[in-house]
Amino acid sequence: MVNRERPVQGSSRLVLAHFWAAFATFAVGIPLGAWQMLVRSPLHRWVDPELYYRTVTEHGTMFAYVFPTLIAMGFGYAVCAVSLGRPMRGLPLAWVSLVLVIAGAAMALAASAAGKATVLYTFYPPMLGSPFYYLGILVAVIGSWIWIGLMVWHFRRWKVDHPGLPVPLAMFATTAGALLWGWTSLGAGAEIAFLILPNAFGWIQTIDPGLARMLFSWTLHAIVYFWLIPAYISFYVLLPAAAGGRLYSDKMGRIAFVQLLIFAMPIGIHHLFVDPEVGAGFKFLHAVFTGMVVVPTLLTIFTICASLEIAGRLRGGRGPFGWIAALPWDRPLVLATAFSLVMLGLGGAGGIINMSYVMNATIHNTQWVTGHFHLIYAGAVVIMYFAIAYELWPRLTGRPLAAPRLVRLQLWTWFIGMLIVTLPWHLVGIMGQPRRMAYYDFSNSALSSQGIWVSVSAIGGFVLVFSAVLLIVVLLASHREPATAISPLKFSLAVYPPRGLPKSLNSFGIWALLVLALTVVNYGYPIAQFVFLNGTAVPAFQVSTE
Amino acid sequence: MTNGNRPSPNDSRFAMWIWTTAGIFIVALAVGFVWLPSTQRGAEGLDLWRAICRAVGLPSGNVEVARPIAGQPASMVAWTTQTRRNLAKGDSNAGARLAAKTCNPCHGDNGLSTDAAIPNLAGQSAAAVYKQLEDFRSGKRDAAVMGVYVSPLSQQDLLDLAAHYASLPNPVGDALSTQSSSNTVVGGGVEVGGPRGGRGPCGAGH
Repeated sequence: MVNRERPVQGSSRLVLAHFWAAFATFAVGIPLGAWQMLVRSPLHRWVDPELYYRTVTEHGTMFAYVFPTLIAMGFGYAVCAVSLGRPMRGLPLAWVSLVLVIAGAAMALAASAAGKATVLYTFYPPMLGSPFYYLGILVAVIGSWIWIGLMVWHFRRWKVDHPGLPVPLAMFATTAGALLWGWTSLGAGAEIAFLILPNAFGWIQTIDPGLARMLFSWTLHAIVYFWLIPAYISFYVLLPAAAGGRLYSDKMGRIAFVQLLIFAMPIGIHHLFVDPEVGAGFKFLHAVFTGMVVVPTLLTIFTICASLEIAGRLRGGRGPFGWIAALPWDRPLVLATAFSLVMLGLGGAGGIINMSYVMNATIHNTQWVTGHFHLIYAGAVVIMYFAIAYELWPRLTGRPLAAPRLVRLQLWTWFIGMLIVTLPWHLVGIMGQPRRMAYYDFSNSALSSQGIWVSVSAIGGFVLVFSAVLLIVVLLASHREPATAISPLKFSLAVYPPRGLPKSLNSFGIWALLVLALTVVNYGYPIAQFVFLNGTAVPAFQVSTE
Repeated sequence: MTNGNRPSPNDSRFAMWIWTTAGIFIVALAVGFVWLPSTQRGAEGLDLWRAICRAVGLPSGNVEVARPIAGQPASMVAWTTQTRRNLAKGDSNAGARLAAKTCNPCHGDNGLSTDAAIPNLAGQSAAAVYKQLEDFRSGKRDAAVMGVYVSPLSQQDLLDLAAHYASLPNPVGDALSTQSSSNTVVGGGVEVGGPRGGRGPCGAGH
C-alpha cells in the first residue's frame, strides 16, 4: 500500500493540476513559436501578417502570463507544504485561484484566436483589441493574487507559530517571489484597468501610449525575475541534495532573494531607452539599478558552484576540476543546472549590453533582444522548470519517472535547440534585423546574408518542438509506471544550517518599504509627467478584423 | 533549539543596506541628472538648472534651436519651375574650376573630404547643394564659416558648383544603391524602400 499523498502533504493533486495546466499551455505554445520562425525564414513562403501576429500574440500571452505563473504557483504550493512540514490551509481558495487563471487565460486566448486582439502580449497602445482579451489577462492575474495571499499568509502563520526560528529558505524565497509578483503585476494591471479597458469599452476615445509604455515597463522587467525565482529556488534547495551534497550558504540565498525583490522592479525604464518622452536622467538612474541585479545573480552562481563542488568532493572528486567529473550527471537536476548556467552566462552577458544606454542603441528593437530573452527565459529558466517537474513528478504520482534516458535526451535537445535558435538571432540582430516583423525580403541583397542564419534558427525551433514532445511523453508515461515507495521530497541542508537568523534575513517588512520607496523615487516623476502633461493622448486604433 | 541565538529586532543590516541603496541612488542622481547633462555634447551654454531640467525631461530645458523669424520664410529658395530651369543651366566645368580655388581645400579634390566634420559633396543632388549654398548666401543658414566663401559668388556660380558636385561619382552612394536610379543617394529608398528597417518604398505612396 503506497501512500501517495504523504510526500507533498496533501497538496499533490493541486500541484499536479498546476503543472499539467502549465504544460498543456506549453504544448500548444511551442509549436506556434516554431511555426512563426519557419514562415519568416527563407524556408517558407510569406504568410498573411495578420495570422503571424495573431500567433505571436498567443505565444507571448501563454508564455508571459500563463505558463510561468502556473509553474510558480504549483511549485510554490509544493514548497509551502514540504518546507513548512504541514498540510496547507485554504486549499479551496487555491483551487479557485487555479480556475481563475485557466478561465482568464482561455478567455484571452479565445479572443486572440478569433482575430479580435492581435495586439501582442505587450498590448502596444494605441492599438486596441477586444475587451475580452484584456479582461482575460486581468482575471488570470487576479487569480494569481490569491496564490500570493496564500503564500504570504502561510509564511506569517509559520513565523507566529515558530517565534525566533528561521523560516525555511525555500519558503522565504517563494514568499519573495510572491511579493515581487504582487508588486510588479500592478503596472500592467493599472495600464489595463485605467487606460486600455475604458477605451476598449468605448467610454473614452483617447489613450496615452507614453504612459501606457511607462506602466508596462513597471511590469516588464520584474516579471522576468518572477519567472526566474522558481529556477533559483531549485538551485538553492533542490540541486545540492540531488547532487549529493549540501548548500554552501543558506544566508547567501536569502541575501540573493532579498536583492532580487528590491532591485527587480525599479529598473524597467531600461526598456524605454529610445522613448523621447522620458528624461535621460531617469534612463541613467534605471540603468544603474539594472546593473545592481548583477549582484544577486553572481552571488547565486558562486553559491551554486560552491555547493556543486562540495557535492563533487564528497563523491570523491579530486583536484581543481576533478569534482566536476565526479558529479552525478545522470540526474536531471544536475544536468539541467549545468545547461541553465551556460545559458544564464551567455544571456546575462548580452543583458549587460542591453542595459547599457549607449550599446543598447545598436541592438534596440532588433532580433538580438528576442534572442536575449529567449536564451534567459525559455533557456536558463524553463529548463529548470523541466528539472523541477522531473524532481516533483515521482513525489506527486507515487510512481518513478519513466525512461530516464529520454529525460536526459529531452534536456540535451532543449539546450542545443535553444542555442541554435537564439545565437543566430543575436547575430542577425547585430546585422540590423528588426524584431516583430511578419516577413523579410531575403531576395534583397541587403538582407540576403541574414537568410542562412534565419534558416538555421528556424531549424532550431523544430529541435525544441521535438524536445517538448519528449517532455510531454515522459510525464504522461510516468503516470503509467507501477506505483512504488518513493522517498519524500527533502530540501537541501546547508553546510551550516541557520539557527537564529537576523530579522533582515527572516522577514520582508522593511524590504517591502524599501521597494515602495525606490518605486516612488524611480517611477514617481516619470509617471506623473504623463499624467499632468497635456496633449500626449492619441485616438486608439481598433485592430480587430470584422 | 535556538539556544539563545535569537534574532535581534534591531538588525544593523537593515540600516546598512538601506544606506547602501540610498548611496547608490544619490550617486546615480548626481551623475545622471547633474554631471552628464552638463558635460555632454550640446550642453554648452546651459546653466546647471537648465541642464538638470533637461535630464528630468522638462521641455524648458532644451537648448534653444534657431527658429524662423515670424513673417519670414525659412529659406529664400522656392522649388518653382524657374528654379528647376536654373538648375539645368548649371555648368559643371565652370563649377569644377571655381571649386578648385574655393571649395577643394576643405571638401576635397573629388568632393570627398578627409575630415569627418566636413561633409562629402560628391554625388550630392544638385538641388540640395544649390539650396544650401543659397541659404548660406542669404544668411538663412548659420554662415559663420561658409559665409566667407559664398558671399562673393553669383547665383550662376552657385548653380555651376551644384552641377559640378552632382556630377562627381560618390563611391559610397553607388555601392549602396544597387538599383538603377537617377538619384544615387535616395534612389534605393524611392524604389525598393529600406528592407533592413522594414520600410516600404517611398514611391509607393508619393
